[in-house]
Amino acid sequence: MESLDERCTPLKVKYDECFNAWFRSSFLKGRGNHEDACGRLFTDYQACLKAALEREGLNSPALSEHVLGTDKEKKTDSK
Amino acid sequence: MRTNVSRGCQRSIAHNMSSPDSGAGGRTSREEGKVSRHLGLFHSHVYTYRTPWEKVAQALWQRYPNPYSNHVLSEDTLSRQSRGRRLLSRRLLRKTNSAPKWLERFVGGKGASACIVEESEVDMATKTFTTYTRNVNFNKLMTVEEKAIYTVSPENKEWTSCKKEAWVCCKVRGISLAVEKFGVERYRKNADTAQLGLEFVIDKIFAIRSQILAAPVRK
Repeated sequence: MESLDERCTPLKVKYDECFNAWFRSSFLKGRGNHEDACGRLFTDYQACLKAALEREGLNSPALSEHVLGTDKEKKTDSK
Repeated sequence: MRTNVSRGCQRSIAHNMSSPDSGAGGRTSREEGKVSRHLGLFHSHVYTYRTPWEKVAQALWQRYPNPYSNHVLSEDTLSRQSRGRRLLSRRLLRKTNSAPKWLERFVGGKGASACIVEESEVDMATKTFTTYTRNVNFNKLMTVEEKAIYTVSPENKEWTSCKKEAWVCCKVRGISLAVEKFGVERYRKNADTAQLGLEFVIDKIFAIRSQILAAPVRK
């Protein structure tokens, strides 16, 4: 799948390949560290992505807000 | 079932679901909660994928593109950390923002894309894949938040159960109910195509892999 900036897509695809292989062969087997396995590819991809987010004006604080696992999650009253 | 009369978009009320329907003949079965009007609309449903959790988890990361995801323009990972047997991720999805004519003036006409943040946690200790998804633009008009939990099915350990809850809320006076109804309808359609897309990707990934494994070795 394409990145929001096509210039980042090749770096993203390389990282995604590493991540999917790591997820399948290590994480699902209860071992391994993402940083050790794919950290370098992730850093390269992030450098490109951060610049793209800046250019597109998408670097808003809302992107990094934590909702999952916090009180900000919507809740249903009834059980 | 209760209803609540407090004002604001903070809370929504669920009409609870009954037990999952196991009678469907296809790979998935589905049980839907009712939609209720209360300070924003709430919608919930349960899907059962007749596929083991580990396969569904892999397919979730690879679900775009698929033939049902033409509205998804881009997908990026904003952050990711593994902490022991937990994996925390944050992704940014951009989607086309199809609005009916009467809503176009509120969303700035056609063409602007919707930005969606998906936070997720995969916990191997409990075999749970949880996503929380929300829109980060157009949220002055409408917020759509979805929590999806994928777990091993209580019916069959080779199946995966997915419970989705969604909250649609509009604070604009005069049009809020109409916007929320539109939002829930669009959410339901998108949830249906998301299910079809995920099934397609599960088939694609694992059918190809089993063909490779089954292929005779050529010398």
